Amino acid sequence: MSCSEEKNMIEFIVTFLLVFVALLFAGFHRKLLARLHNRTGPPVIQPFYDTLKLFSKKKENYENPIFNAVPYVSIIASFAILFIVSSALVGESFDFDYNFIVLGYLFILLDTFYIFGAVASRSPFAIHSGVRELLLMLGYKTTFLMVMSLFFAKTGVVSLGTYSIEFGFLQVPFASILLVLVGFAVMKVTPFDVVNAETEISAGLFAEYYGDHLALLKITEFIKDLSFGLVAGLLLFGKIWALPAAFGFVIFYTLMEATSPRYCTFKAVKVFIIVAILAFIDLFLLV
Amino acid sequence: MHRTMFPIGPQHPSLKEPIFLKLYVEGTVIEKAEFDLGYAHRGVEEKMENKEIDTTLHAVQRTCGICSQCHSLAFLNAVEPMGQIRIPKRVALQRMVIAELERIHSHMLWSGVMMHEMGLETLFMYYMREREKILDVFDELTGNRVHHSADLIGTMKMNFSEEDIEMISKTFDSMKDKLEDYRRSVEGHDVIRDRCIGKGKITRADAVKYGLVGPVARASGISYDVRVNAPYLGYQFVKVNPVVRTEGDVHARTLVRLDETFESMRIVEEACSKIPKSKVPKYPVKRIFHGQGAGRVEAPRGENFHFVKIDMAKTKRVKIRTPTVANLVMYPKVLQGADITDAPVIVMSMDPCISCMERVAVIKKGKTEVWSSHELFRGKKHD
Repeated sequence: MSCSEEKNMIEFIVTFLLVFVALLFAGFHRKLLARLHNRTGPPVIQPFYDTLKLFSKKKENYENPIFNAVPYVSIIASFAILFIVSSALVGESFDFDYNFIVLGYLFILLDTFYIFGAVASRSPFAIHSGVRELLLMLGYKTTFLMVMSLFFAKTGVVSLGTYSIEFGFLQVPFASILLVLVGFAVMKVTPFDVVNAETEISAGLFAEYYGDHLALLKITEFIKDLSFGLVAGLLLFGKIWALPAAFGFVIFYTLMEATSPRYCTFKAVKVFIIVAILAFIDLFLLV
Repeated sequence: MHRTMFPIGPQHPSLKEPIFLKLYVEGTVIEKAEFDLGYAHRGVEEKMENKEIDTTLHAVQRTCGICSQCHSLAFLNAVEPMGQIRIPKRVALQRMVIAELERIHSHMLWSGVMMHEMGLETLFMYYMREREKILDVFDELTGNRVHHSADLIGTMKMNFSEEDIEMISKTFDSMKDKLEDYRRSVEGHDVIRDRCIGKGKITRADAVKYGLVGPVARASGISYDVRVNAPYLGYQFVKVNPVVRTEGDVHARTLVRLDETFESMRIVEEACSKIPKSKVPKYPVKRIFHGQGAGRVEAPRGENFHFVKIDMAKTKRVKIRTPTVANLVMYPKVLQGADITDAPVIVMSMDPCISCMERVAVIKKGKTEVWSSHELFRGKKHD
């Protein structure tokens, strides 16, 4: 086996290991949140049990093809994100110039798929959740793209794999703060979890999904959260610290979730529009 | 804009009991709200007919899981005057202590659930942890945590000892600082203020027009409290300061309940210091054969009313009007014009107790039917 093949194999293995890490992080988040709530909470491997149980449920297809297709295209998009992230950390097969822009668009695409699925389900809860996601996306997704561009423009690096700056947050402090703010919406934690507001819109975007479809969507969400944590860790702390930083982000966002109630939708949207304007000003000043 | 029906219930994460709220929304604004009941109808009143009075008392205490003692007291307030039974001071104060402890745990449960509605699960769990201490006190005092079954006609099943009173005092001492911290969090937190201030506003005029009761009315500036306006039991011996606010919004209703928790603690402490050394009378105090009467008490959610008719030492009819019946009629008005985001918070701010409210549901091909008192009494309608 040649050196590049070996590298590709390692990258492939790391990508699939990261799926398990994503589920473990989700389990840790639930456990930590439960301890902060003064509850015992589920075991850390509970997401594995949940996913397996969902896969074992009776399979029954809904008549709408878009509704049925969304879980599959979402999982493909999430794996594409994970391949780019893992190749930035341990390999080079997906490390091409300006891959961070593709990564940003994949994040947008993933949420767009969710909205398609929600609208196709025709559930009022899912549709309302989709509208909320769409409104929030205007603020936080554009900010995410601009903040990534800021990092790469200020450091002169052209791809995630070649980003070798340690403690980048010291060089780009303002964009780092904006990136952490964006994390609230990406990871859907309070006060910006309006898309998943259980007491208002029940199960939100996934209200009508069940069984294997729901399992795929849950895995997609776990992968998305971990990928964001790894990207933010890479940009803020450097390649070596990416995974510990992602773990740190889980702790940070869990603490925030435990101590803050939920904003109403329009307040959350307002905050992210302000964040987007700040990111735009920062980018404009750089240009 | 397209109008859609947004269903909340009968099963929904924001509801603890089944009620079907139909919210007709345009965009995210509620244009019209309706509600359907009948999902938790248990036929409580029918179960009480033609039963021994003691058996009825047993059933009455199980009308509600939160305010068991208040139902018991309303029933006894209706029944005991029929037999000219005079309640000794000890019994009156002991009954009042249990009723006030019930108010504390009910308000703490509500506060926790309100935080859950706004996504602050931590405070929900903290409130539930403190509430557990009150349930432990019930366990020590009466032997039961939820349905206390402490009362008998004219007397009670137990005498509170010095140790019991000391235990109550110690429990309050362990709770007060934490509850004050939680209150400060609720009152001062920017997001909570943003979610509550100006939302679900009920004016004083509307509160009078719709006949609202309890903390909902008091948050709209109506200083009406049965404990003050028509003192019963130990409330004749202890001063009650009703908590009244004038804002009429969700925030005011929250603060009224939080402040009432502290007021109830003060009342319990004062009542405990006034309990005489004498023992409660032996049971049975006196038999009751005939009569009819009404009793009302201030339950945690507002005025609780019982009408009781006794014939041949058996209850022929018991009619219960819980505070939720009075407050529920406000839902369509208070939800109209609100944002869908605020709907669960507004609904919960009225503190609905659906299971103890559900009485008669007559649904027949979409037509409204009127039952006479005779038909209600018989439990069926003649065609």
